[in-house]
Order: sequence, then C-alpha cells, then structure tokens
Amino acid sequence: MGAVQDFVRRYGGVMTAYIFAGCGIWMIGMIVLPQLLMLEKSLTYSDPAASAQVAQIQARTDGLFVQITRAERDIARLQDRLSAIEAGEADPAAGSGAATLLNPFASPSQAEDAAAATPEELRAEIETLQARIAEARAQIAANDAELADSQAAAQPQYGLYNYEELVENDLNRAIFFKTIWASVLVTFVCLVVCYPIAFYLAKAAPGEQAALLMLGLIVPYWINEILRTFAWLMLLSDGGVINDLLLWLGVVAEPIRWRDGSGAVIVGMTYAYILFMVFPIYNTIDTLDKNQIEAARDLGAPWWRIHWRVVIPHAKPGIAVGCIMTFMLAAGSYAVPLILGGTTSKWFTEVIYDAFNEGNDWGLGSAYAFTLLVTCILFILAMMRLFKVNLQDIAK
Amino acid sequence: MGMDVELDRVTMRFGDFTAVRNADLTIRSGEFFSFLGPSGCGKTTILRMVSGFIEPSEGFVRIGGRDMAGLGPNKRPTALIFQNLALFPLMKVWENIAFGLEVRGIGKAARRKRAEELLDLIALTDQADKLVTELSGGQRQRVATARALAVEPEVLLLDEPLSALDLKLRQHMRAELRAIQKKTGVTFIYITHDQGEALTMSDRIGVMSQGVIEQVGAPEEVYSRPHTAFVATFVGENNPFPGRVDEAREGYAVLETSHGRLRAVNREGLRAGDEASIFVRPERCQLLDGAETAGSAPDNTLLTAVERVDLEGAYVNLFVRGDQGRSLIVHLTNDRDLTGLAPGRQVTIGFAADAAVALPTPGAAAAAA
Repeated sequence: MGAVQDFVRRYGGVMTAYIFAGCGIWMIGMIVLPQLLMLEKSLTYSDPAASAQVAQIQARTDGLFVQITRAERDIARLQDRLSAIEAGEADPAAGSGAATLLNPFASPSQAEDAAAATPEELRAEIETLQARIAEARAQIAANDAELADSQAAAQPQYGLYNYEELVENDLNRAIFFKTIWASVLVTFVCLVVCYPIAFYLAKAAPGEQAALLMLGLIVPYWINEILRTFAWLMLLSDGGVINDLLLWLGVVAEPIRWRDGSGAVIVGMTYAYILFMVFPIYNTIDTLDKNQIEAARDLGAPWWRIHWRVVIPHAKPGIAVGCIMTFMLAAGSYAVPLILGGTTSKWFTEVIYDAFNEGNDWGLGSAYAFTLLVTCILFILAMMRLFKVNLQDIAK
Repeated sequence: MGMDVELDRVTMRFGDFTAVRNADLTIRSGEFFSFLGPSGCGKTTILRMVSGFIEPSEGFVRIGGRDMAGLGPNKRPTALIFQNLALFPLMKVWENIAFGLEVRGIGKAARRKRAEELLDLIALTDQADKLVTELSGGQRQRVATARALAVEPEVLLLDEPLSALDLKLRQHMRAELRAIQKKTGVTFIYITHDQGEALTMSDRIGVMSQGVIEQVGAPEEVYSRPHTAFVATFVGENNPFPGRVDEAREGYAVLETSHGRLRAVNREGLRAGDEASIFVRPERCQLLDGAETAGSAPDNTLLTAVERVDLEGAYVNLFVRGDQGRSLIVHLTNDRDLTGLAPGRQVTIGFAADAAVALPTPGAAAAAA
C-alpha cells in the first residue's frame, strides 16, 4: 500500500486512479483474459461424429413430426367426409372444395378418390393412417432415446485432442515448422540487412543525410501493408516487372517462378519488417560513445573487430528487441503470405484462420493459435538467453 | 624508446574555419611535450592529426622521420588516451588493457600475462577481472594508460585525461604519468588547458591560441619569459598595464600607463610609440612599508588602496586598486601579520623592472608588422 500512497503523493488521486485502471484493464482485459479464454477453448473439444449423429437424429425426428401432422390432417378430413355420408349424402363437393381452399396444395385427387369411396373404404383409410401415426410416434420415442446417448457423447470435453490433432496432422505440422523456420530466416535476413543501415544512420551519416535516409525508410510505411505487398506481387509474379525485364534482356528464357517455395514471402516480409529491426538497433548504437569506436581503431582494430568487440556487444539489447519483434511479426503475418505465397507456401496463420472460419472449429483454431504463441514466447526467451540480455535491458 | 614527431607547416581547415594555422615544430623522442591553450585553440585538432583520425589540409606529419599521410590511426605507432578515457565498459579490466594485443593476434594466455604486468605497473594488481565500471576515476585513468601502453606505442597522445578527476587525485596522477613516461621512455604529447598540469609535467610546452602556436619552450621559460601578451596572461597570473612606449633603450622600455610611467624588460624589440603592455606576476610585486631608501626602492612604485584580502593558505591574494587604474593582485607569503590590510587603506606596491616584461599589444603588433 506504501507504493499506492507514494503514487498518490507524486501524481495526485485522479492520475493514480487513471494509471491503475489503465494498467488493470490492459493487463487483465488485453493480456490475461483473452489468453485464458483461448487456452480454455483450445483444451475443449466435442466428438465431431457424435455431433453429426445428433444433428442427423434431430432431422429424422423433425421429419417424423411433419409426417404425423400431415396424417392427422388427412384423418380429420376423411372423418368429415365419413360423417357427412352417414348424415345423409350431403354434397360431397362442398367438403372437397373446403379442403382445397384450406390447402390448395393438398392432393385434390385423394379427396376426389375419397369422395367416390364408400364409408367402409374411408374407415379403412383412416385406420391405415392411424397405424402410420402410431408407428411414427414409436419411432420418435426410439429416436429420443438414441438422441440422449448421442448428445451425451457430443458434450464438449476437456482434453488434449486439439493439440493431438496438430501432432497427427502431417500437413499442418509441416506448415507449422516451415513457418517457424521461415520466420527465423526472415529475422536473420532482416538483421543482416538492417545492422549496417542502423550503424550508418547512428554513427557514420552526417546529420542531413541521416535525416533523409530516415525519411526514406519511413515513407513507405505510410502506405498500407496490403498495397505494399501487392507492389511486391507486381514485381515478383510470373508476368511481373522483374520477369518482364529479365525476359526482355534475354537473361532467362521463361519467367522465374519466385512465388514457388517461400522466396517471395521471405523477401516481402523482410521488406515489411525492416523498420522494426532498424529502429531498436539504431537506438542502442546511437548511445554508443563514438570515442569507443575511435579508441578501438586507435589500438589497431580493423573495422570488423570494432563491430565484433565494441559495437555489437553494445547493441545487443537492440538486436535482441529487433529480432524478437521481427520474428513475432513474421510468424504472425497473414497478409504477406496470403498475397505473395504460392500454393506451396502456406503460412501457419492461414491454417489457424481456416480452422476458425472454414472449419468453424474454435477449439482447434485456439489450439493452433496457442501453440504459435508458446513457440514465439520460447523464441523470445531463447533470444534473451543467446544475447544475454534481461527484460530490463529490453525495456530500455 | 619513443620516436620524434615532426609537424611540418601543418594547417587544418574545416570549411572556412582554420583550426590550426601553420604549426611547425619538432617534438623530440622521449620528450614529455604539452600543448597548452584554452578550449577551441586547436590543440585537440593537432592531436587528432598526429593520431591519424584526420589528415592535415596542408603540410606533413612525420613520426620517426616517416610521413604519416594516408595512414589511419590503426596503422600509426601512436596510442591515444581519450578525454573521457573511452574504456570498453562491457569488457573486464584485463580485456580492456589487452585489447590492442588481441587485435594483433596474440594468444589469450600471453595477453593475460602482459595485462597483469601492466596492472603491476599501474598498481592495480588484483583488479584484472573487475569490470571497468567498478573502478574509481583514478583507477580508470590508470587502466586507460595501461591500455594505451600495452600496444607499445612510440608516441603516447593524451587528451586532457585528468580533467575529470578531483584536485588531489589530479596532482597525484600528474606525478604518476610523469613517472610512467620516464620509465617507458615513450614520447608523450599531452593536451591540456590547465597550465598547472603543463608546467609541472612537461619537458617543453607549446602554448596555443586560435590555431596558432604562440610560444614553444621549457616550462620556466614560458612562465618567466613570455613572448606574447597571450602567453603572459594565459600561463599563470599576470597584472597587465596597457600603455604606449615612451622610450626604449638598453633592453628596457618605459611605458606611459594609467598607473604612471613604468619600466620593464623589453625583449620583443618595442620602439617608442608602440602600443604595448607591461606584465608583472603577482608574486613579483612587493608591499612597500615606506622604509626603503632611495637605493633599495624598486624601479616602479604605485600608490593604491586595499580592496580585499583573500586567504589561499600558504599565501594571500591582496587585491589593490590605483587612482584610475584597474584592480591588481599581489601574492604575499602568509608569514607575517596581515590584519592591518583593512579595505580602503593606502598601500604602496612596487616591482623591479627586471621582474616585469613589456610585450606588444596583439592587434597593434600585427598592424605594425
């Protein structure tokens, strides 16, 4: 409570309430609850066969009820005719007409047949219908008993079924591992591309040039990600700009199929996430005392050793943050693989999307999503370990 | 043994700004040489040209007789100690010291051994495995020195490395640096704006102002026989008496000043009519008690009033002011009763012509030339 009092003293009551409410809503509403709900969903499953059976039985029972209703209506009409005949040969057409009026789609031929029939025939007809109703009712009772069993079987249950599904589904498992591997690759390519840019921006570029470069890096991000990705599609597709140029120059005989495999996706993602790698690294290198670089140089170090021993160790937290962000974004990307990916380069996010939206199986979708989340967290921990940084370094 | 460093008509320009103008001198091998001047005078630029971080716009830098043009800082036989030391905070003390050896491909065991030898030299024997951030300011200073010496440079360049230390430590480190220099025989080029540092440590001093080396000489020479008004005022304290030369003969000049006619040594060839100033050190002024005979009275006497007395410890600063003149400082040794020097009291100040020097006023001298 001392901490709260300290807060109140420093920021006042309103501000303290705002901060605590904001933090609470953020932590519980944005982080804890959704994850818990998803975890719960992912551990819940219902036997799909039993569910199908339930639906089937219910449909059958519904059909039987319709039959009973029809038969009862027919009996009522036949009885009307019968009592009319017994009352003294009333106009048979009146009853028939009424039936037609009441139900224009009811078979008039049947009514005419009945009109022509003798009372004995009508009675026999009624009995047949009554027997049929009794049979249907018996059937419904049997169905209800069966339904209770099936419903019990279709009850949602807790279990690892959804996770087992991922392990057993060869295709989805392959996509999962490919997504992780390709995201690692995107992260690595981004790091290799961005470290020199970040170093140049922070330490080598004269002020104006650095500002221009920074602007050049940021401006593409004013354009929607989808549009940017389609721009890459225009460049990389079979009839795209690059292929046209290569064909025209005669370098290749037929278009290169960039989009087969993950090449185009990796290129597109590297481009899409460059800023998320450049800025954390830039920020850390920017705080490096330039004298340290000069001191290393003065002591005889060639450029690569200066980077290896002085700049990179200093930039480690930034590199870790950049790698974590890029990896998370790449692994969780949906638009880029959807647009740039060929038929063989499906991303795991697409599998998750399909499970939710097309399979309508929230349990399975949650299990996939949760697996991806846990993998990403493991990746973060591995990066922090690899770069020997802790959360405080990253928060800086 | 260190190498000599020759600056051959070196000029450095940054755009329109001339940071160093026609620097021309030779720093002898094994010498402790200081560049002394206020910030922005170009002394750091000279250091960076010698270490190879920048190339001079004109002229040549030679080390051991070899032209250094085109050689980067990693290719020169120099090592630089930065003003902020620039130790590598993520490395241990011994790794810092051994970095230059690591660069040269020396094995880890040999590096460690050499680092420990250097740690002995700087009296930090057991600190090898600490991080530099765990050391005190003075210890870091020593580590920086050891790191620079580890690569066995012919010339060690020091860019105000003591400026971050407190006074006591600074004085201690002066002696230590001087001792290390004597022991290793490396040529030291020391940059400082602190005349105390320059005077106590150096074999020779180059006094700089606005990109120009105004005077080069041994400390006592620079202190007692300044060639320019700038040197006279920047190195140590001096009381200036601006005026005009009335007569100049036999190595002395007599100036008409606001304190009357004053006589001083004339080494710079002043002639009657020149704009000039007389400079006299506070410790060369005497407080006269009126008992002097005509024969023992100094050449110059001034009637002044006491403004205040500041106690410095071993001596006191006596501030006095003449009728129309400016405030003067007189150092009096604190070996007598000074309670009588109440503000407002009339006192007579005197100094010998041999204790004072007449120097041309900078602007006027340039105009005359």
